Amino acid sequence: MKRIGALLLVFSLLSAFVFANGDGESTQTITLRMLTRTAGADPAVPLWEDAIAEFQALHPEVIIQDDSVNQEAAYSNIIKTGFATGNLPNFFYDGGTVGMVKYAKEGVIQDISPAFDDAEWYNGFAEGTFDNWKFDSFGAPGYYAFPHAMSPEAIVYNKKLFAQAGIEKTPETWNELLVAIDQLNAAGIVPWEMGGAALWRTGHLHNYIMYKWCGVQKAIDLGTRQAKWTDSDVVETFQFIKDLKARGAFRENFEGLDYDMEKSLFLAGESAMVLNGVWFAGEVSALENSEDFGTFHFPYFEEKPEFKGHMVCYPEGYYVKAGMDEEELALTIEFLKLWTSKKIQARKVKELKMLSPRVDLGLTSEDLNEVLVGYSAVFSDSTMLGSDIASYDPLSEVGDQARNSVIGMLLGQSAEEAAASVQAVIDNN
Amino acid sequence: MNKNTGLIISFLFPALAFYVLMALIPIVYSLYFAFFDWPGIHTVPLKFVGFGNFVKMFTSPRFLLSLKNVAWFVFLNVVFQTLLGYGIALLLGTYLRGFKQFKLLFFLPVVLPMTATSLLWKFIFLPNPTGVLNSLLSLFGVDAVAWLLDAQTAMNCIAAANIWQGFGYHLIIAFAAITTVSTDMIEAATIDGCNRFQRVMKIILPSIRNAIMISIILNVTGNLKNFDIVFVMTEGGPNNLTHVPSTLMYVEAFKYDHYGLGSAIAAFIFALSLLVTGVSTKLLGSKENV
Repeated sequence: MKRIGALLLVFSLLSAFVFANGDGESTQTITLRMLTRTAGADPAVPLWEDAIAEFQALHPEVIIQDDSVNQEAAYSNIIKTGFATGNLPNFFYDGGTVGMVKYAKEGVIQDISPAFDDAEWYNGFAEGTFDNWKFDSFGAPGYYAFPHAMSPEAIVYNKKLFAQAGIEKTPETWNELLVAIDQLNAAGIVPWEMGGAALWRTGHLHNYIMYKWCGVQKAIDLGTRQAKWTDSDVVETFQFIKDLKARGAFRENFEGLDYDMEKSLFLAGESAMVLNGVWFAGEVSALENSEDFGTFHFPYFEEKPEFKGHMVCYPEGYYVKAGMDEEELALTIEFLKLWTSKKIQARKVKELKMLSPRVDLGLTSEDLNEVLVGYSAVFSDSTMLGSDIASYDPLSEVGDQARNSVIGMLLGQSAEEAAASVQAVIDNN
Repeated sequence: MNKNTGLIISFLFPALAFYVLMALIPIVYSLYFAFFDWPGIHTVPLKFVGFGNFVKMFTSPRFLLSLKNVAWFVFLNVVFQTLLGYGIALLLGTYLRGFKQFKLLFFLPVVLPMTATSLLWKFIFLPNPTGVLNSLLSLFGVDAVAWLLDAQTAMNCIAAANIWQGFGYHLIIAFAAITTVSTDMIEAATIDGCNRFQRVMKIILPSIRNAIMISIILNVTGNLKNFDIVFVMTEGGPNNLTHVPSTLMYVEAFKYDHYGLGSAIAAFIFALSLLVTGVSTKLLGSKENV
């Protein structure tokens, strides 16, 4: 009796399964795998979830599998394993640009330029946005990423501490900056918080000095080997950082402080300014005394007015894997277009107080706070945007060595030695 | 053929299969990769370069510096972990017999995760205003020292952290060895007029010579491939000056996508560890035969 009961149960379950598919035909599902750095408690997670839900409502046959991880090392391991094994997600985030050229050359990532046919979507981005991922000059014709963010960098300062030091106007030029540093030091205030233990911190300072002194084109020329790190103007960019330290711009032994300490000390009012990207705006805005903070552009050199409008802005994008069938590729691109659409990007700015690469969002001043307005001014006042110097170099170790060389110089080497050590990496390859 | 051979094989198989899959095959593959160039892209075939990666490795100033660093690191650890471990064990086993419960206290760091230990010591050695050691020194009017920023000081600090973490292990080995020393011999020496110091030098230490050798071998082989403490405390910095071969291997393979060079460094670490273990075992064997 028990056996008959069990058989009936199995039969009824199988029947339910078969007839649940209507006339018995199976519906083929397509799984799109995505890998971003937005996961866990990241405030942007709900926005992603909404976008996924919206897309799945349009395409019930599609499952979007979100493999995103927040932690950098874990993310790096996943993506490197993907490249090594060919098991890449349909699309993935990456903050690099030229570093991705080798993957484009090998046909592992997709040229996304056919997506530009959608003029309404495409024209909403700032002019030249997609050029950050245009690899023609590196031997890989095409455009290779959807923009996730254009993250400008600026100096965030503590208004009260500036006033305490008697600084009435934020510095516009390098010499004015040096005077402000002297004034802050005289008032017993640490002028500039810098977490030198995180190599990218002094690396970002070097980026700005490079662009204000040599122009963005110089970094591109270094990457294409039309210029050398030992060129006198590049050596001078190292020297400016050394001079800042000698001037007392930074805290004693700042080379041993990490990024979190840098932020904590600055936000606690222990120092007057930091150089940081728009990703820092949220932390400033979250403070009770957020109105005490403002931003100003990185000062330009009086001797080089032609580079006044050269600003640092880090493009972050989503790359699409190559080799998908037509339908899967079309769905992947459609999802990324949805994510970068006017509607979702406007929510990103309004709800998350983040900047968007789109310029057609119709934002009002109420949508942005003062710090965010300061950051967005980088776009309006720029004549040329440059990313990380390292991102223009096809050799990943060049950027790493450049950052190591800056810290090596701050700990005793000369500017010439620092520059030579970077050039040596290129020469030895 | 033993009648139990089938049974023996069936018991051995799971462990053997696991060892072959997880250790032997990766080691052989790593050796194989050392003779190729590969950028870590599945569509790119391996390019045979012969001994090119080894030539590159031995002519790289960064690798040669990492060898110097690891030699100094191993030396400091062998000397101080052994001295501290055996010294304290001798004290607890002879002079301070009533304080044996201290063994647990000294052994505690051994069971802490290495990453946690490394972070703990990183905070201790941070520069002012947050560094524990500098804050302490400032109470005595000593100026802040940038412990982890000078290459030599940084290596010494990493070694100090590693010594603190590991000496308890050798203390336990030493303590176990001391308990095996014949009490008859010690009593006889006492009757013959030996003082405590003489008993330690003439009876206990010679009797635990093999344990000391084992400690040294474990120390050398363990620290030659040390990775985590260096990686967490300095990441090989500042300016790539505190790399040891294992951190350099990681950086070359997984940061710069030089999988061939990384594999060559891995092969070198493997060969060196094998050589040191072989020589040490030989030495230990010859001492045992004396």
